[in-house]
Amino acid sequence: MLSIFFGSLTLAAMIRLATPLILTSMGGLFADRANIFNIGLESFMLISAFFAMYGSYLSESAFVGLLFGIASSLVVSLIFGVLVLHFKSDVIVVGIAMNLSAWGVTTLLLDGIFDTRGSFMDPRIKSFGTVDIPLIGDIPYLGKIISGQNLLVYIALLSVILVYIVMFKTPFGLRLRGVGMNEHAAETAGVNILKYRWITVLITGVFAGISGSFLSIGGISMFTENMSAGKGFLALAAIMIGNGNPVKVFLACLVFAYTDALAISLQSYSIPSQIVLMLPYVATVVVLFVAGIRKARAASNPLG
Amino acid sequence: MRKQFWIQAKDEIIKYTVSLLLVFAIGAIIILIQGGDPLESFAAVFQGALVGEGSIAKSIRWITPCIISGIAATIAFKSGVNNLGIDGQIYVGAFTAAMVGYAIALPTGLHIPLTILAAGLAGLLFALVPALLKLYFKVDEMITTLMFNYVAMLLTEYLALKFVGFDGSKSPEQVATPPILESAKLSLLFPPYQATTGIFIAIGLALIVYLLYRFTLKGYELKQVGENMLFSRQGGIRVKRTYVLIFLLSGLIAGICGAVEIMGPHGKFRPSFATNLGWDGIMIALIAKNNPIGVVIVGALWGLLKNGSFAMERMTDTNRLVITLIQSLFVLFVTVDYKAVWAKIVAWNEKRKMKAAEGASRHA
Repeated sequence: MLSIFFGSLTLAAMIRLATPLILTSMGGLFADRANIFNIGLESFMLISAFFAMYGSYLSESAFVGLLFGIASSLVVSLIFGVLVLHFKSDVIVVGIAMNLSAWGVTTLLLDGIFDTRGSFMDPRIKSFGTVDIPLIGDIPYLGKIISGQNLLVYIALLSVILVYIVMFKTPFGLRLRGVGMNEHAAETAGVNILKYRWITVLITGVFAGISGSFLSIGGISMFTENMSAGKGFLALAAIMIGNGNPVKVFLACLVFAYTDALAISLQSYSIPSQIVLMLPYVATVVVLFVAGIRKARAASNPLG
Repeated sequence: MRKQFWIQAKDEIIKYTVSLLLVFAIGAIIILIQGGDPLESFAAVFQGALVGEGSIAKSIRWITPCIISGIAATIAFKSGVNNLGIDGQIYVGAFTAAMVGYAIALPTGLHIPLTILAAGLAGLLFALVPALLKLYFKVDEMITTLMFNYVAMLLTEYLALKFVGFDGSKSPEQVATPPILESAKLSLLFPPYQATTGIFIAIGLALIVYLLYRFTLKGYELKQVGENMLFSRQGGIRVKRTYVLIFLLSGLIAGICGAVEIMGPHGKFRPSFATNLGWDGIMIALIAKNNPIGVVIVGALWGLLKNGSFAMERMTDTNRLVITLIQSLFVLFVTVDYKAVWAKIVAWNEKRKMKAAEGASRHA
């Protein structure tokens, strides 16, 4: 039983399953700092998952696939940005409609280009291979968890450090946090809010593009209808739990992915996975609740 | 005043018509690219939705949940409550209806109201937690309701599995609760088609909500809270109570939506039976501008399109997601504040002209 909970297989699966969540939330937390509540992250991922697969299919190269994925996600983020920042459409509605549109577009493309429904696999679709890290790979238990993963997994892990540095150690990060805390003050201080909003939307696009690419060409080499399946919402939940702090958001992603990995292991023992799969969602509400209590206390006791 | 109203209404009508034409044009292009015939496909949608008793009956089957879900969304969004959890509340309501419909034997006259009431209460209770969290701890209701959707779907799936066993040998289609008793089933309007008397429940709910907003003080309060919370508080409305009430009402109606689905077309609960119904409701409410009568009209359009899209897929090679795409693009087009965009373009143009003039005068 212990091997299910802490076995290197489960933990390696955790890292793998956390990757799309980490990537999407690392991008999304920038927009969150600029007070853009993007529930359309799902659509960014789904579109890029399709185009990454398509790019890889056309060129038989995973890197070209990744470029396709990022480019398509950037296009989606441009549409999102124009609608929300310039056309002043309601951000929630845009998110909902874009999620539905992305499902429609990708399924229609799958039907139109490959003449199939449901899912598409082909030997021409090349995935990113696994990378063995020389020294870490030799460590008995940890090596099996961390080494031998996909290239995009390492990009995801490194992105956490990168985002942390950008957010807390650069003038850009400082100003962006200023925008998040008090727009008017930031504006008075000479920050061009619109420009910052646009930058965060595009950053979200790039990260979600890598994330979506991971879904289709990060090991499995296939595209399935609606394959983002709620991962965008989970990434959003991680951002909320972590309160926009990259390290906390990263930890939240790991916890979410752990329950996912656990559910997969438990299924092979014929234990129903629904309750375990429910944990991330329940945990999110509980964490936000606890944070809410703290805030309420702090508000009622200004000296404390 | 009246003139002003008509000018506004005219603008809206133009906006909606142009958007509708545009999205259908886009849809036609997509069908062409797919190698289909747009005219034939749209004709199939029309025929499948409206021509013949069977088609109309099937359309009513889809219109019913669309209207109820739209009303659930209207109640919330009109008052500024972002209830994204309608999907989850529908699931909880549907499961409760399936249980009450299956386990309790009663005469029809009692069984139907009891089942609907139980489902509504289940939806209401499921909305209670996000409502209280928002009110007392300022936890964003959008994220909590979004999370609760998944909790509802997984929880009901787990409970449904209890009936068929956890051995994993059952295919997803086999996972279901036992069928509900005949006494809990809504009557069919045109047997054997699945249109039920649920449509009267849908229209009745829309009417009640319309009258509530139009003629009662409570309705006025509900609207006020949405428009301006601070002002409402000054005006003596008990904002907190009203806020919770709105949230619960929305959950209640969503629960009823689930019940009508189970007591009508489905007859038993299946995991993930209601694909996107809650989101449909939110989009319908948005297009209808949170007007209950508008919801009936838009909901009808939505249901017709949904039924028509199934027919189109049967009769032609066109994928039915073309219609889904048309619907979601329509939402995107309608949300745009075209007046603001136009004003911006004009302002930008003026600015450019000014600059050009400035440049010219400098040269001179």
